[in-house]
Amino acid sequence: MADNQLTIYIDNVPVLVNANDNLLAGVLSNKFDLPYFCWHPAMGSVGACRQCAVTLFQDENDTRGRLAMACTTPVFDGMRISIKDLAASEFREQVIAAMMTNHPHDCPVCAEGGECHLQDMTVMTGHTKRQYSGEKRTFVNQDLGQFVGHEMNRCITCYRCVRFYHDYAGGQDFGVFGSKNQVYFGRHEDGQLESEFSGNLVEVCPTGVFTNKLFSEHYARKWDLQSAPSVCHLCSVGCNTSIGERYGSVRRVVNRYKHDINGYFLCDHGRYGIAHVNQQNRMTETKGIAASLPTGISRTDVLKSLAWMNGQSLIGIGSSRSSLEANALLKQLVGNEQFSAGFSNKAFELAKYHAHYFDANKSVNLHQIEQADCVFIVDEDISQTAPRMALSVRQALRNKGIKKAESMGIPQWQDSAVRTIAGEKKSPLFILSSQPSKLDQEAEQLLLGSHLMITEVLHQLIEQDVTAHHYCTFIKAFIHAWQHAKSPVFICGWQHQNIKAFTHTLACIEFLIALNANSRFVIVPPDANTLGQLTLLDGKTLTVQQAWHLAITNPDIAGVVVLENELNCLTEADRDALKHSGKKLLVIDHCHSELSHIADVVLPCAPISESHGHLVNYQGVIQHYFPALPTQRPVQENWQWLVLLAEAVTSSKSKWQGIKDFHQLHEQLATDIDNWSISTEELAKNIARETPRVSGRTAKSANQSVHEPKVTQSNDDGYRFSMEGGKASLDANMPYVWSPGWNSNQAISKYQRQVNDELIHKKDVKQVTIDYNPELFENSHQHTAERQLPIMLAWYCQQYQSQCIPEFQLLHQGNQLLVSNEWAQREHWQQGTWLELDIDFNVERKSIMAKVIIEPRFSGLHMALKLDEYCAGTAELNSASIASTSAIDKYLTAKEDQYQAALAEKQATLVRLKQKDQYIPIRLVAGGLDDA
Amino acid sequence: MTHSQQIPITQVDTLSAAEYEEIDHELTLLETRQAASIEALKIVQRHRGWISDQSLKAIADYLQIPVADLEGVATFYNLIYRQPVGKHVIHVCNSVACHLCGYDEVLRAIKQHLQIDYGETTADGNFTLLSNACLGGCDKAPVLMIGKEHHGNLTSTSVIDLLNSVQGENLGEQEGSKQ
Ligand code: SF4
Ligand code: SF4
Ligand code: FES
Ligand code: FES
Repeated sequence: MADNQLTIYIDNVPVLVNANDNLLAGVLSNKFDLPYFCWHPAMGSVGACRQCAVTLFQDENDTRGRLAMACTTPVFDGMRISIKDLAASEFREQVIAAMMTNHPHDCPVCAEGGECHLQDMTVMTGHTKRQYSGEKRTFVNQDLGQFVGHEMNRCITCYRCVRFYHDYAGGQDFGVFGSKNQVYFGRHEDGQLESEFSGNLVEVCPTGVFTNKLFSEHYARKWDLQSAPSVCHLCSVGCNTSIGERYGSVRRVVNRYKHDINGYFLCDHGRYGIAHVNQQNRMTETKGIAASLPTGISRTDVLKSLAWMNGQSLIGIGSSRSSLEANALLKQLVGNEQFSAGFSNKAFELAKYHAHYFDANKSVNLHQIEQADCVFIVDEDISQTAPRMALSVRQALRNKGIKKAESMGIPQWQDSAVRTIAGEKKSPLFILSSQPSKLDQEAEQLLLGSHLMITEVLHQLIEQDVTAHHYCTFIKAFIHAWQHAKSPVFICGWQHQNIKAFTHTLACIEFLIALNANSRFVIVPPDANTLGQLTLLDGKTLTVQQAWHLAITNPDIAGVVVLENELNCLTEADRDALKHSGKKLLVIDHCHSELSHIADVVLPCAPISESHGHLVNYQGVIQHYFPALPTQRPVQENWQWLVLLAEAVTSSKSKWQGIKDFHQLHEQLATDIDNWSISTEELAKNIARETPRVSGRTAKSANQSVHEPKVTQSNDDGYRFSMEGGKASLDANMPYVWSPGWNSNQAISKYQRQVNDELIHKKDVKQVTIDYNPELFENSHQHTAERQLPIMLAWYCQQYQSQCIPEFQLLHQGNQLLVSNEWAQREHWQQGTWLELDIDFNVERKSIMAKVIIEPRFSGLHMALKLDEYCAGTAELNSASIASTSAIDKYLTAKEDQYQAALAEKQATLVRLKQKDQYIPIRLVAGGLDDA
Repeated sequence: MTHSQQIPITQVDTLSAAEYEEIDHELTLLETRQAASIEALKIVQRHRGWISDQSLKAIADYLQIPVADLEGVATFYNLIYRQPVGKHVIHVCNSVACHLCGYDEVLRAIKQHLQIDYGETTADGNFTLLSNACLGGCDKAPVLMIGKEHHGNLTSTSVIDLLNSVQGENLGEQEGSKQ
């Protein structure tokens, strides 16, 4: 037990509670049931709903006591309270009764039904009879955009939504309107919710006011979902998620509590990005493999078709969006000299520096970021590249106000009091960047300008040169704040791939430590497993371009194997050259790309929702993800394909031949690779992925066959595709949260040691070490810095896999060129002028249209390009001219067409998924191609 | 306007010089710009009779706060009107004391006499009828407020006299809103 505990008596039972938290948190931490609505573990108390009433006694002789709201009551040693006391329980029942006067009884058509906190609390208070016969208040709902549905009649006015969206996440386009019995939560007018955390409303709201639109459209009750613990694969933060499936298709992602990382909240990319597994460009068929039987391909077919590989030398190109083990396996397969980790020439330079400066001990997790009292961000828009981290930075900025409140005797959990006292007071945030970001408003000092300016400022900072009058205010204020901070955090990243600025940024680290020994650092890589790739680098590792070139020129090499990588750093000419060289191209991926279209062999692999693996987050933490549903033939997990390839390459007697499951794979990797950091320790708990009350277990596929299908099993991962098995609460990687009486995600308090603490079954954090120490050439890429045009991508354009989701494409707003006043004046550009830009995107030269937005905060002659389309590289601007009316018309028509196409695809996807529900594959295969 | 340019182009009014001047004065008295929200709404309403969506946006722009925040303030207070109102706004108290002392009959009489319901304005633009939480005159219940004047101890007949006298006064003055 942690220190700072004291004893209180709940219905005469002595329990230990946290002295610094409120009574409600203490009660819940001891696993008692006490209803509540407005209190939230991460957001504290406001006392708005009056649901958490208990009877508080003066001393042991007091038999009457008085009512107190547990969430707004501090605890003291020897405190005596009663939950069962009649006065308190009647009061709680009446509070629900009052809420019910306006609540529509529409549970059957409510997407919250079955995991609704209001349902749970109503049952818990014993309010089981409808007493009110008057009219109910009704509201007009809003269209809140692509992600969040709105049904205001269900509101019980707990204020959680606005406290999350506005107060906690800093969203500006959401509020509370009206008064008395007419209180409305929403936007000031219809429109897309702008915050990248809007999806959390679904989980934060204790009723069905806010629902997940994508889930509602292809819906299943929570109790009918088959779920697995997973890890978000869409950025380097590695938030823990739970993926839910029904009838063979993925329905949704919800947050899975992880104390050190995401806590209770996900970003919208993580919540909605999973939809890519249901899109049209999913690969479901092999190419280049001849089937011998009409029932589909077998292992023998694959080995026969790939006979050309036997004894051949291959190039392997991996990817930081694939798992650590699949990449390691690929490296084993092709050998160190012929392996590329999937980094382009440019990215490889960044990777080297990252590997050099990476130090797990000096890095911080999101929980620690929230404790910081000074934050410095250099040239990384974490609000889009690692959104959940930006949410943590926002919490860190509150620390100054929280401290002030503490000095006045007000504990942190008194949320509204603390916010009032804090007022505008914020812990200092410094931002130095080549582009604006959503955190700018919170910054104490902000400098936006070119990469040249960034390097200059950093240089002057290290020199502590405060004479240059341009930047001296920034530098002076920064040095002062950093020196006086208790736990300062420095954040930078790969985003702009500007090696010069990046090396200057990393060079700051030593200086910052000298300034303050407590300094901590975060380097944000681009992908979910970039850090895993860094562990695979050695002196021989190739870049993508080098590997590709080698394949073309070296006569000993038979072909290229590309693992889950669209290789967008290659030009069309590069791709053609491989074709003409007669070398084979083999692609393993789950979604189509330019590359898969020209490949000789395509092997469709499972996306994250159907596979096992580990991802290494920005901090080097290794995290395991598990499939929510088994793969459907011929789709195989990436490592299963690679094991087959290994067999095809070596000989039929290879060591890979015996590998049937994930556990064996890791045993083999551990023998082959020194310091292999993962052990798949036997979970042996065999936790059921389905809930105990899942419906239609034996009837789901009865429209096709009345025979009960064999349950697909793979016993190596500790979870079962079944309703039979261990309880969800047995492991830290719970597939879903549920506890008797607690059907909503609020059941999480039953899984935590105490409120907001670690999970009861917490495991040790496994972190990678990076031994790679490349030679660093300080000045090799200097010339690239100056002309670079920074590219800004919204979160929904950040990842190749997820950018195709129609709901994401419907958010596009058109390209914008942000220019400084100086530029605008020099070129006579007005706000809103349409330009035709001639841009060098490294791989291709393109003419694009963009609208001028004047950004007065840009220093000097500076521009940044906000693009609608996913784009992995960097850009240089060759020329810009004012666009002709016909060019503008053409662009706008094309945009409109794209918009309509996305709308149509959204509809088509839904139709396709609903049809698919009727044909559940009777046999889903977990044990490989020949698992019969 | 195509779908793909979703940024709504709603007309934002500019405030008048007099309005800016009055708001600026409030700003000199207050710690933050946001704190001037209520006063700014009152000022603009004094000039325009009500707060339109455009006025709301213009004020939010000027105070540099999100529209949603200002809308929260505007809709919270009974005396800020987000729709056009008549010359005289009747706020009928519908809280407990008044309910016990004959609120129902008084309200029925008003509605019948003016031929309007809550939230509506008479065809001649003279009266708007709204409800109000306790007006703090419980000892004189039932109570209503017209403009800035409280009227208590009402009956279904006295309230009609009251309305007639207000209307008469209005005809005599011929000078528009009393607010
Ligand atoms: S919408 Fe939901 S979260 Fe917001 S106040 Fe109503 S019930 Fe609470
Ligand atoms: S912050 Fe990153 S890891 Fe977390 S949910 Fe968002 S995209 Fe996924
Ligand atoms: S939870 Fe305590 S008052 Fe709402
Ligand atoms: S209840 Fe009507 S004035 Fe108080």
